[in-house]
Formats: sequence, C-alpha cells, structure tokens
Amino acid sequence: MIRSLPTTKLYKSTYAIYVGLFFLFLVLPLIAISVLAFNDSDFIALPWNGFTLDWFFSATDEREGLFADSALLQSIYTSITTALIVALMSTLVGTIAALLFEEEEFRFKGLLYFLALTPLVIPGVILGISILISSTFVGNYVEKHFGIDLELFRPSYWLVILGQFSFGATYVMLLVSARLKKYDRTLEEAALSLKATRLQAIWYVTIPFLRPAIIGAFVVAFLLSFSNINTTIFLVGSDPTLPIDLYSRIRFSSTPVLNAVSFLIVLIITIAAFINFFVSRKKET
Amino acid sequence: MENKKSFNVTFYLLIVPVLLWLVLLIVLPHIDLLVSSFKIENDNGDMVFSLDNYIAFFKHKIYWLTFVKTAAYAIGVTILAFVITFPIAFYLTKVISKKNAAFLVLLLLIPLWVGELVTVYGWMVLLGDHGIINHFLMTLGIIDKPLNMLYTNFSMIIGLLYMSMLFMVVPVMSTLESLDDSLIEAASDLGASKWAIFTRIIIPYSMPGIVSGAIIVFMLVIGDYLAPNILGGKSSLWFTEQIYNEFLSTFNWNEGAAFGFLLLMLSSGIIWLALKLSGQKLEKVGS
Amino acid sequence: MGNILEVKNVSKYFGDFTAVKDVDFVVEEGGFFSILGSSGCGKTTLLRMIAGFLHESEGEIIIRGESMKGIPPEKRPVNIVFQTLALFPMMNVRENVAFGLKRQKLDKTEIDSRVNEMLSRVGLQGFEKKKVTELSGGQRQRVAIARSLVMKPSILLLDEPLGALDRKLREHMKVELKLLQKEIGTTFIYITHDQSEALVMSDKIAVMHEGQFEQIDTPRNLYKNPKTAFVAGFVGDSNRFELSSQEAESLTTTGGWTVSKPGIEKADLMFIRPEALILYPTEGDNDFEYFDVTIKTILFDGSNTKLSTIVNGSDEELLISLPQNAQFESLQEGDSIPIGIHRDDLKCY
Repeated sequence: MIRSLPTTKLYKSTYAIYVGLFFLFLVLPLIAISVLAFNDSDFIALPWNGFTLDWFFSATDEREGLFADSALLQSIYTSITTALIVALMSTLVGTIAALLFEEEEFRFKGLLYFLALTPLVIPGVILGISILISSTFVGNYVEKHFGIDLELFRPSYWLVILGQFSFGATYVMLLVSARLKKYDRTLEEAALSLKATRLQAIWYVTIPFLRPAIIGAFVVAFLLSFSNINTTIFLVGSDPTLPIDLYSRIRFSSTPVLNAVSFLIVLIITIAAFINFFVSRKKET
Repeated sequence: MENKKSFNVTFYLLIVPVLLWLVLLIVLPHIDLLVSSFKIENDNGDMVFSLDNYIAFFKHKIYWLTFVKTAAYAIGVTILAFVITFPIAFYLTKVISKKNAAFLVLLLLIPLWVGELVTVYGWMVLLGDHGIINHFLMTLGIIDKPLNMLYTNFSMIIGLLYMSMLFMVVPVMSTLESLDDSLIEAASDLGASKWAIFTRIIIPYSMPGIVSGAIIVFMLVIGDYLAPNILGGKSSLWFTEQIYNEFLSTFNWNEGAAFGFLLLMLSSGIIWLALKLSGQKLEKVGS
Repeated sequence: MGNILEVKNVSKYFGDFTAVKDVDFVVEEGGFFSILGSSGCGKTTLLRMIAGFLHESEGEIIIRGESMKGIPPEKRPVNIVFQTLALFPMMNVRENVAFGLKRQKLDKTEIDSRVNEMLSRVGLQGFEKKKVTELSGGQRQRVAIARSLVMKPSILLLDEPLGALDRKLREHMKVELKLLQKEIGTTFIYITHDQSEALVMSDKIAVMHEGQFEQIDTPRNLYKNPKTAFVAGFVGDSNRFELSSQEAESLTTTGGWTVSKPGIEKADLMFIRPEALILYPTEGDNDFEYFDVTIKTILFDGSNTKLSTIVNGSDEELLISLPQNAQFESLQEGDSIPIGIHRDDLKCY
C-alpha cells in the first residue's frame, strides 16, 4: 500500500519485481532493435557477429546503409516536412479552438465542442477512409465540371497533411485548453480596461501565458504526425512518409537498415525526452 | 457599441477556422462515408442506392466473424491493459518518491513517442523463429527447437497491448495523483483490509481515469492495423485489415465504406456505453 | 478511572532528524487531552504513531494496557479525524459513516441503527443521501467525526480538524466538540497549534516544543503557572522581558526597569500577563510591586482592549489589559498612571 501503511517484506519485494518486469517488457523491443542495428550480419537476428556501422554508412550493393539509401532518406525528408506543416496547422487551429471554447459563448457550442473531440474516439483508419472518399468525390466533381485535376483531392502529400491535421488539432486544443483553464481571466480584463482591443489582449497577454502549452502542443502534433500510419496509409500518394516506407519494407524486404532507422528514432526521442526532463526539473527548483 | 463590434470581429476570427476544420474534415467526410456505404455500382456503371454492402457483411461469415472477433479481442486487451498497468500507475504515484517516479514516467513515455511502427518491429525481431528470445532460449538449452510465437494471436496481443497500455497508465496516474493519502489512511483507520481499501476507495476514486484510459485503449486497439497485420498470423484477421483490403486491394470502396461505418458504430457504441455506465462525459476523456 | 493510553519514552527519528524525543505521558479514560505546539514540533508525528501510521523508533505505546507494537492501524482501537478530513468523495454521508462498520461485517440492521444514531447525535439527520462535496465546512467536520465515533474507538485522535474552518465557525465548533465529547465520554486526543482551541476544550494539555513535552497540565495551571519560558511565551499573551542583572532580591531588565522579587533563583527572562497588571491599585501590600507607566496608545479591541505603555524611568514597553468599564474611559495618551502587580505574577525563568 502507500508509504505510511505497514507492509510485509514479501509484498514489497514482489511488487518491486513486478514493476521491474514491466519496465523490462517496455524497453525490450527498443533495446532489441537498437542492438541489431550494429550487428555485423545480413540478417535481423542473433548471433552477434561483431560491431559494424554498415547499416548506417555502407554504400555497397549488398549492404546499403541508411545514409546511402536515397529512397529512405527521401521518406525521412517527406515525413519531417509533413510533420512540420501538420504541427503548424494543428497548433494554429487547435489554439484558436481552445480560445473559442474556453472564452466565448455561442449557440451550438456544445455540439461543436463535441465534434472537435470526436477525433479522439474515431479510429484513425476511419478518419483516413472518410477523408479519402470525400476528397475523391470533390476531386471527381471538380474534374468533371471544370476540367482540372487537382492533386490535393487525390492521395497525395497534401491530402496526408489534411488527414493528420484533422486529429492533430484536437490534441493541440486539449493541451492548450488545459493551460487556459488555469488562466486568470482578470489579466485579460485588465488589458481591456487599459484600452487594449480584445485581439490585442489575446495577443499580448493570453498567448504569452499559453506559450509553454503551445510549444508542447506543437511538439506533440509533430510526433503524432511523424509516427502516424493508420490514417496516412489511405491518403499517401507517390511520396511515402517514413512509417509507410518502413511498413512496406518490413512486409516485403527487411534488412538491418530498418534497425538503423529505428535506432535513430529511439535515440532522438530519448535524447529529446531527457532534455525536456532536465529542463522542466530545473524550472521547478 | 465600439466594444461590441470588436468583440464580434474576434469571435469570427476564432470560429471560422474551427468551423472549416470541423465541417470540411470531420463532418462532411463522415457523411460521405455513410452515403457511399449505401451505394453500389450497377451493371451500367452508375452508382445507385442499395443495402447490398451491408447485406454482404452479414452474408459472409468471414466478415462478421472478424468483426465480432475484433470487438471481443479489443475488449480483452483493454481489460488486460488495465490489470497490467494499474499496479504500475499506483506504484508510480503512491509508493515511490516523486523524484524516482519522474524518471520512470519518462521511461514510460519513450515507447509512446517512438511510435507504433518501430515498437511493433521490435517485437517482430524479438519473437520471430530466429528472433532474440528463441535465440537465447536455445543457447541456454531451455528449448531445442524455436517456439512458434510470431504470427500468432499471442504476438498480436503483445503488440496491441504494448502500443495501447501506456494510454491507460497516463489518465489513471493523473487521477491517482489527486487521491489524498489520508483517504487511504482513513479507510485503514476505520478497519478496512487492504483488499477493501483497494476495491472500495482506490478503484472507485480512480474510476474516471480508468474509464478515460479504457476508452482510448479500446479505440486504439479496435482501429489498429499494424500489430494485427505485422505480428498477427493468418488466423488473426483484424477488421481494419478487411477495410484496408476493400480500399487498397479489391478497390471496392463502397463495401469498404460500409465496413468502416460499422466499425465506427461499434467503437462509438461501446464508448457511449462506457460513458453511460460510468456517468462520465466525453470532455473528461480528453483531459 | 484508569489510564487508557500510556506513551512510554517514545522517540521518533527520521534519519538524523529527531521528530519526537523521549515523550512520556498518560491519558485518563474519558478525558479530553490536547497536544499544543507550533507546526513542525512533532505533534502530528506523535499522533500518527499512536494511530499506527508510523512506528516509534524507541519506547512503547500502550492502549488499554496492551502494547501496540507491531499492530497495524486497522487493528488498533483508535480512530483518527484527519486534518483534511479525508471524507470519501465517491460516497454520500451515510456511506461514509457506515464504511467502517461495513468492514466489520456487522449485520445491516445494526449498521443502520448505529449510523442513524450517530448522525442524529451530530445533527446530520436528513443529510444521509447528500454527497460529501455538497456539504458546508461545519457539516463536513461533523461527518468526519461521526465516521470515526461510530466505530466506538477507545480513543479518538483529532489532527487539527478545525484548521480549515473560518473563525466564527471554529469558535462554534470548539464548543460543540467539547459538549459532544462530554456527552459520549470517549477519550479525545486533540492536536492543535491554536492555544485557544486547546484551552477551551481540554481537560489536560501537553505543550510540545521541538519534539519534547514542555509541560502537561490543566488549562488553568498551564496559564497560571507555566513551568518553562517556552510555555509562558506560547500560551496566552505575555509581556516578555530579558533580564540584564540580578542582585539579591531585585531584577533589572535590559530596558532598565527594576522590580523586586524575593526568593528567586538565577533567571534570564521575565513574563507578565497583561491582565495581571492592576490599574490604580490600593498601595500598601508587601506582596505587590508598585510603579508608574505612561500611556503611549490605546489599542481598542472590545473586551480585549489594551494599553500600550512605557514604564516610567525605563525603556520597557508594557501591555496592560484595560477593563471596559466607565472607570477608565477618561484615560488618554500621555497620561501617567500607577500600576500594581502581585509578585507571584512576575514569572521568571
């Protein structure tokens, strides 16, 4: 039980072992892929044949490392730009939605708020096919009546962005709303009484207060986009994002270069998480 | 009057982008999904209204059986996720110090942000016939031929659990954090056994977090594609895979739309039921 | 009546820090015993050891003649009312009060009758179905007390339960709690930092300071005859003087005020209660010290009005209680007035 209630030694140690096993379960796959990224073998398996960086840097035909694989590099680039654009759009609209729902009163607010939350509970696959169907519908209509074939309405780079944005904005809205709930509304009223317009009050007083949440939400939206596959898979066109590329490689032609990419992702996320951890800890003390 | 006018300008600046987002990307696409699920192509190549897509679902055993199986497995995984992670959430909030907990929480979040594809791939590498676990078991002489773990229901459940269970930990932890230790002490002081404290105080108190977590886990599992597809075997057909096939293999989008709509009904139905039974609102799930 | 609780030489260490140091006392059955001390003095630690949430590092706690060593909180015949009250938010009033009885697997009719009786005793009949979050501060208080009392504990431990209430309600609850304790006769151990709560309610008070008991006494004795300088300064209002020299039977303060007090041993501090000072005394009593003061200002506060004065011929400030009767209405700032005090009321340490 909790710290102040007496417990037996057996209980305590069983509990600690369980927690230990859980965390082992948690890190096991991450360690497994990371280790095999450096194994000098053509197969994604043990035994350990010695350390190599081939799966990062080699450029031979038998071993095409990550940095020599132009298709892979291209998909990483696509994923990064996609995620940046999605994060920007989601942050903008999500923040606006948070301000709208927290600060304004209007008819159908409840209904609209409900709609804004639905992406949380709609499976990503459904979002993907709905947007695919309706964009194709619009695209066909435009082509038929105006004779223009717009790429936006077919599975493409931009359709992926729209699809990921549709749920990214919800997460941003929730994160910003949470911070906005702690906001002392009199600050904005003070700005108004000092003859600021409402927009100025929001821009100079409210937004700076929300800045940490907005930055955090941007990062969350970026990561959601970067790792998304359920929605993306239906909307992707000729330029695959990294997860789509990896997915097809896993299914059809795996080499340890997959481990190299995965290792890099794990590494970057871990470093970012630790930086965030120490920065926020410093702020607290 | 001046003030009133500027108020309105701000309001429209706020509501227009939100309306565009919700109407164009949420409402209309789902209406289109529903409409196209009721259409089929007739012999002349025209689209006509029909119930055939839904009839096909009920007529073919493989479809509705997969549907039922997906739902049942999703419920099972949700329950498993709760059972496995509740002690962890409790440990991190109530047993160890805040400082140690902060580090472990960090560890919890890393797999979450790394993304499903990488972790599913990790399990593939671990569980395969020539995978790491079999390698170790064989080197240690515990087994002499590889255990068949990958491409089974077992590996699929591991994958589903792994990617979803952390979404249970986070909301449960946040309700447990607000649970005042003195409530537990008070219960103990009033003579409650450990079990009674657990079932009467801790679980009821953390119910909002459990429901939020369960809804998110269920939604993620039922809509997941990667774990069943990569880790599951021939027998572990998942309903999302059928939707995928309709759209990207057989190109029968209308039947795919019907399947999608059924899946949407199933997930919203169960979520609605969970909210109703626990007396919660959807707003709470988000926070 | 016998002793229901014996605390024998109990100490508690947290690492290098000594929270409770060699505390030794007994509580009589049916008494209202308070532990008074400022925050951090170790009183909560002591209470939590009696309740069983902490284990004593040294010494022993005995309840009804039985050692409590190794007995978990749920098995001890004590119940605690928490500072935060710790009402279960997911249960209504009745469920909160019945919680402990249900754990004992009593039959339903008995639970019902005991809960009803307790609720009516604390004046909460009709509130059974209310959520605890819908109650006022005073009602929540009563639920917490009822929830513990319904268990018929040998001792009820109260951890500053009035702390969260506003002043008016606290005054009211003090009286209510005292009457309730008298009526049901359960032994109460009450910890507080508020001396007025302790003085009003208790039969006995222990003053705690830096992990140790300074004095255990009745409220009247504690106030009249504080045994240590800490108690004299902590309990009630006092004028405090540092003594600079001591010759034969006369004491001189650092501010240059000399009083005579026969039979005094070495002392560093002197305390005088504002109400011990008599205005316009009839002179001639050898047990009295007579001197003049000049009024600096009048601090009007109803029945608690005081004069802020300077002792003539010194730099010492002296607060004097001013009875609110017509006799003293003409006093003004700058007036010089005669004052007398019984030498027993010059408390030196």
